[in-house]
Amino acid sequence: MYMTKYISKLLRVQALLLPLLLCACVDFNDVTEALTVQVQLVAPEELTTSESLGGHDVSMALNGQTITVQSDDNGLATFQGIIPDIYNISTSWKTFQDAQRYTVSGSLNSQLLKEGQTRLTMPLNVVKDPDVIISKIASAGCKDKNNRTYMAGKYLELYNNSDEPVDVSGLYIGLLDSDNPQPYTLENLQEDYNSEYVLLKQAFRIPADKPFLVQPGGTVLLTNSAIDHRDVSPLESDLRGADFEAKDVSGTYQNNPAVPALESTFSRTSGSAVMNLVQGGPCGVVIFRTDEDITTFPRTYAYGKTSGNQWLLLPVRLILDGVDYLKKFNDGVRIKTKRLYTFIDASYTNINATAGWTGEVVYRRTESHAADGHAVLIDTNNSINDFQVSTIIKPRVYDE
Amino acid sequence: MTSKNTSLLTLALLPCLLWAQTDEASYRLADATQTFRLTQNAATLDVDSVVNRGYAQIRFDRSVGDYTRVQEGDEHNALRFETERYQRIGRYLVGYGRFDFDYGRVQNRSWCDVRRAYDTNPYFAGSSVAGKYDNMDFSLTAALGTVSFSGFRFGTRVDYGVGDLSRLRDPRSRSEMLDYCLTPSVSYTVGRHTIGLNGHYRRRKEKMPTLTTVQTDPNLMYYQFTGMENAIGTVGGYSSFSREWVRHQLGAELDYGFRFGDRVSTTNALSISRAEEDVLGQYKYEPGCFYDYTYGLQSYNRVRTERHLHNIDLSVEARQAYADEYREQLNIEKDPETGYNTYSYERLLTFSKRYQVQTLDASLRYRLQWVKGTGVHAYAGVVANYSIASNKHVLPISSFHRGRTTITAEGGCALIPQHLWMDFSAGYSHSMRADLTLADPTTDYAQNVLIPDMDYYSADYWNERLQLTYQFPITIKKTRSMWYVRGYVHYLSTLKSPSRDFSSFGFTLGIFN
Repeated sequence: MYMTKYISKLLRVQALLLPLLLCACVDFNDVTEALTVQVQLVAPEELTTSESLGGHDVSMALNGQTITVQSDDNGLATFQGIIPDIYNISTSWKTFQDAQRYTVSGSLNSQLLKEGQTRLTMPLNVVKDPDVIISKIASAGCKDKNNRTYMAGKYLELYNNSDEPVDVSGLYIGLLDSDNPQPYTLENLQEDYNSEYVLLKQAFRIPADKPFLVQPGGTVLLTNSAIDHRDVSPLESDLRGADFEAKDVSGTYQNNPAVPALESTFSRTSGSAVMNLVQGGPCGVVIFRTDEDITTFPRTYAYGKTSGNQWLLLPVRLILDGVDYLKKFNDGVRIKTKRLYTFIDASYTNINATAGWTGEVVYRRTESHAADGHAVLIDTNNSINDFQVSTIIKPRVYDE
Repeated sequence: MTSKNTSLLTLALLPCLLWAQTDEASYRLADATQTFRLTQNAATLDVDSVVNRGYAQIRFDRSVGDYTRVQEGDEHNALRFETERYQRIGRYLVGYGRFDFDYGRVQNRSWCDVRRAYDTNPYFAGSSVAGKYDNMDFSLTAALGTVSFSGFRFGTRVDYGVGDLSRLRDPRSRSEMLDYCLTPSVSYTVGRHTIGLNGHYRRRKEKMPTLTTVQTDPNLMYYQFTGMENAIGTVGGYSSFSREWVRHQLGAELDYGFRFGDRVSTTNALSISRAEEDVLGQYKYEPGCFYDYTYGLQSYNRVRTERHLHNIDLSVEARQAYADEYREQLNIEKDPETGYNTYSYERLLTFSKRYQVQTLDASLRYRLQWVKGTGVHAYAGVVANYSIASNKHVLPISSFHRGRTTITAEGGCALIPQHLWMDFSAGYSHSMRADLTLADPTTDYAQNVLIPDMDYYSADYWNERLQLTYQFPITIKKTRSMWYVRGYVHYLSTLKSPSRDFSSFGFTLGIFN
């Protein structure tokens, strides 16, 4: 009898405790919600009144995925069901004025979208399309059959994206600074130089002693070693047909005497006559023209320094085209490490590897084909849109 | 003398007899009757009829099979040393100590370079390449309780553990863990009733310093996970990757016990805890923060007759956990005077409760033990387990729900009294639910981990275990000790075709002290 009494007491105790356990303490319903985002396109003064802001694709990109909507007649693009995050928002289209082709484009990079920040304004720019553009940067390098790093097969390509032959003699190729930490951030350049300059670590020139005509759809292949590299790795290419070669006086790279020399006009480090294309990035490139002697261009030490290495200050007014090729870290690309202003390159491009050696090549996408069949490459001044990455694309080829 | 008086006399002499010779039978009886030791309350060590006892053993275990999850590996070898001791210290103190050393190797593990992959902090990392992992863990528990002072007892418990988990294939990660917990406690006994209260602070830190490689393959991908199928894979992403998880946990437990002589006893514990786990990367980058609430109920009930001991145990644990995800931007500030850069992350956005975990585990056990003298000589019982869990990622929504019920019959007896023991169990486990809904089923993590693991979660299986223990005395320098050797085999086989299985065996050499 006593046992029964105490066993029943047992059960009562447990019956009391169990409901306490089942009371939930966490409310799982107060989660972050999706957004409706509106982007208002704002026309620049240069755009004629006949140009409508309606009917243009406006894209929102995040982690390689893109959402595109069309702007309405008032230039307003509305995105529904957007997950709050940091997006790259852009738009671009072509327009013709005075028989010249222009690109109308706008971008908002690393734009934070969250509750309370869903109505955005995107100012547009109008830029005349350059004839010659930077079309390919093969700077990743690779590993050879013995798993050793191989850098000799790096190259750059320029492309005639117009319908007329272009003489590229005297054209300058500038390599942007690639130090980490960078000697000047864009904020530092705004502070010290009013955003009128970019920093170059090296500058090269296509010889100006005679014309070098590039046909529509033609390329200019520039390399440090114009030999056949294919026996090193299947990721390498045959560069014997390169147009110009940065001659290596130190003998590190094998040169091809049949290929004309690419003139070295400035180098941050003395004795370096080859193109210093950094394998994982940053490896930004600009092309420019000037009749001035660039050796007289101002130079600067790193921000806040008064000694050490110096970089060439290149006036932005001279730049014809620029590609901001940044390094990818394991937390992504750091937008604050951009070297080019957004009016030159609205965003950036990058390879997928953090350290390179993967044979990755960044190259421009093909937008269309001209009447004679040559590719017309995308040029929206926004490298995230314009460039893609491949390990199999070969020199002078743009469709995989 | 009546049989009732005989039993009472035996029980009164129990401590002396056990002190004289601890063996398998007496150790089992002590484990069964001392139920407050199963709570976190060190102050109640004296409430149980604690006798000085302990054991030390070294064991080897091997498990192999294909009924495993991707992040668990399919072959395990482990060498373990374990020792524990209950000891009265002087007139006023009762102590308990335990030390464990675990050295093991897992084969073919992938997609997880940390110790916890399931129903926990989603911000971990791993490689898709399967490899070997070695672990070396030490853990120490020390509990001290006082005798009664006008009904009050005081106690404290310290749990301390360190561990190392190393991957032996590129990219080579190393996870170092430090986990300690301090639990002060108090209890009050009046008559047959005992009420106890304890609180604990636990700090657990797991740290992964920079990964290394030997072969320097430039195409190695490294993944960082953010919940469900969401994973960011970066070629060479192991370079400069480092991360640490720092968990602070506070909790409390309320205990109630009732004793009616040695006939009826109940020990109950109701617990609650809250943990907050920060995740920190390079330059104090934070992908998110994990919050974990755990509620527990344990009830251990004993009903004693002349020759039998009925054990009725109930255990319920419920968890509610969630992770807030952050978006942070790196700021680089250059000092204009020195030119030095300062790196810091600024939080731009918080996704509230973006990853959610809920679990419920309940277990009900009934065991009938035949008691003879000062020990158990046979037992039979049944165990029912019920567990459900859900993982959910919002924006976009992905979810995983699973549930399982397991019924196990168990039994054992002394085949040769004081020498040979046999334990066996056989059980059936039924998968009640295994539903996976992914917003993007094409991701690498979904294709290689979540979807293949569904075969594991949806399978019903049988499992059987047989264990033999042989004990023998050895006298060394006139000191007689009881040693034992133990071997077991365990086999699990799924019902679904094609059948998958998992088997284990182990060997132990130990001594009662």
